[in-house]
Amino acid sequence: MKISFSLSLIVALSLLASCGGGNASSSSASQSRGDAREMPMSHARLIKISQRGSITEVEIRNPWDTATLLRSYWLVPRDSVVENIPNDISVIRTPVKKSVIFTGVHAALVNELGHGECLSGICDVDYVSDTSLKTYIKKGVITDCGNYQTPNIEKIISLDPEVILLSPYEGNSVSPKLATLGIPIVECADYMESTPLGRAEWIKFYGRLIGEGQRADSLFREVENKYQKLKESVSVAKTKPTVLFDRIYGNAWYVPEKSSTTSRFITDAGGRNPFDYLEKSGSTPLSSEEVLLKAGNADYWLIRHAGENISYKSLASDNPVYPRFKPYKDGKIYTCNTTQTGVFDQAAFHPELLLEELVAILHPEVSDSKYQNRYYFQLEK
Amino acid sequence: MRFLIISILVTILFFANLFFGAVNISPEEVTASLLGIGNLSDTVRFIVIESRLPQAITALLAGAGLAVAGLLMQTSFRNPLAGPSVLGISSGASLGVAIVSLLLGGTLSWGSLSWTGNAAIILGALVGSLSIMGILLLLSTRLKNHLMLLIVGMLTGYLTSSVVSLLSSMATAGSLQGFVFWGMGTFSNVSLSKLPIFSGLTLVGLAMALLLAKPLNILLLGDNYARNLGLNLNHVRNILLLSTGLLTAIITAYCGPVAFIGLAMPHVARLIFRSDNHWKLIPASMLCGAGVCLGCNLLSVIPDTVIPINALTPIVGVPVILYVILRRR
Repeated sequence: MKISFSLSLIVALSLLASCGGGNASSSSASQSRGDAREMPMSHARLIKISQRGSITEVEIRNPWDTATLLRSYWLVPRDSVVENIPNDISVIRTPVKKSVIFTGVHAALVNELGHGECLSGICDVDYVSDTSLKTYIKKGVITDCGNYQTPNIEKIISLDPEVILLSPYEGNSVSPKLATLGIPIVECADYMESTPLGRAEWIKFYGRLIGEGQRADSLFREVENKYQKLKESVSVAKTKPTVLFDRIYGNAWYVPEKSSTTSRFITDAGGRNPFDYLEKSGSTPLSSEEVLLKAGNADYWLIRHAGENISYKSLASDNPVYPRFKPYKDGKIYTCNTTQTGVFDQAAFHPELLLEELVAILHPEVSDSKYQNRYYFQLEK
Repeated sequence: MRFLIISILVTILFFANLFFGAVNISPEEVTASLLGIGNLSDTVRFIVIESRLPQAITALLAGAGLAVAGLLMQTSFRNPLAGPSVLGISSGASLGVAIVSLLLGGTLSWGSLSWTGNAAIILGALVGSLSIMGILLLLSTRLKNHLMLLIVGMLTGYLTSSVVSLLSSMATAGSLQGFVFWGMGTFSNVSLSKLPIFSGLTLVGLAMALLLAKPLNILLLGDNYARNLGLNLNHVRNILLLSTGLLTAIITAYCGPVAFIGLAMPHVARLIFRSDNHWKLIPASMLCGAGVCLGCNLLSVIPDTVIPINALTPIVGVPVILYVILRRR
């Protein structure tokens, strides 16, 4: 099955290559630049990085239509000269010195790799959870470029960035106005990876943008090692506690499907998602009846919220269904303030931190007894 | 005869709401839980008595209330496209909810009292809609005719929606989520313990509407004629405002801004009964509204997913309104 799939992929790719007859000059150019050495990706499925001489070639697959490419980039060292650049390639001169990064999560990564100085602007500053970035923004070193959906284009132009990093979403990845600026746009589709480590592996790409390839590789190795060790540590556990997530919004309770990141985290932490019979990779709205029937006997209940006060009393008055759940009766409810703890930002490139916490909650018998919770805190009765 | 058929249909839909839901519960188990007999699991009993039953009653009353409120507005403004929302009362509710969830972060406090979650949202919606109703009642003594009231209502609506969009543009994604979900409408927010207050207030509004049947029939003949018959127009207008306002405020607070029922159901009632007599139209609208809301509620919980109420009501409402517009050409 797998072999036939990869065979058909090769056939499809070669067909694609032969179709691009107009790009004869580019293929000759790449031949003259020597052979490409592809970098093995162990978890990421949407990105391909290869080295051809001094040029790093990056291909980002379209997460919503994986047969097509979303973008292709050539990362070219500042001092080298390239010719015959195909039309569909964005050239980014590396290391990038000035950038506008729309999302706090990618800005925090650049900062962690030791290049906070190349951040000129950020969007949606309210969501930035990294403390050192917050100080930069406060001091005005990093400019607030407005709302993510409607960025302040004039401010972005005035910052004169060499590259813009943003998270694409289905159908409408880049606003037309941004596209006309002539600044290379990096579409950070990492959040569409189906595994936590797959997303984290994109570190390798972002590191190469700022000339920190080696450092990024070793950072990822470290993340991967820790993650795998944690995953192995729970393989000896005798139980697989079931975990329920979140609560009712409107008339629906959104539950994680089998291949969603949330579900992967639960499984990797030695738990079980009561809704893993739902095959897809997002979330499904279910009625409270159904959730009660399928997950009423869950062992743990983790609630993510945006900062409102949650207590056993407020849950009971919100909906009489909540006290029916076993974790409510057993006092095993944990809440996570997603804005304050920065859990989404940190779990993106440091999934091992979230996994460590989930393991500590679900399997205290295998974790360090001195572990201090970062994101989820047990709700007091 | 027509009343009998519709009443039977509504009753069937009501029981269908108890017997069918997101999970399969056998008819015997449902009957046993309703009668309080037999040895049932706690979960089954809870689902039938504390989840399905209040939801069905809420859908029934909300549908009846919204349809009647729409009818009252259509008759008093002599405009077939008027609905409970024309007075700006439901936008007042939206404003209240927006302030609570977007500005105050979902928590409402007054001295030592504090409300969070659903309670805060419902309270916000009530305060918002009742204040708009209060303003309208105050203005109605100064305004000469219904048209002015309509204009004031619409202006209030525009004003509140501008504040709502301002608040949403500045809000965080998390709090916006709560606000957006409230706007999708649901009949599942009224729990068994909240049911008495919800149904009590809705029934008061419905009773007031029934009292208006005779004056509304007279109003159909024109304001001057009605005045000649000794009808106190101001008095009628105030009861009308109170009834519509109360129904819209309570139902919107608990169920969110349920769309199209108030606008479309009076027309369905008129189509079925082919009459302008409010003694017929008021109960008929109630039954039609109740039936459609029960039907939408039933459809909203198809297995393995949930559809928001406001995604379903327009599917019923829009064809009716189109039909009315085309027929009036």
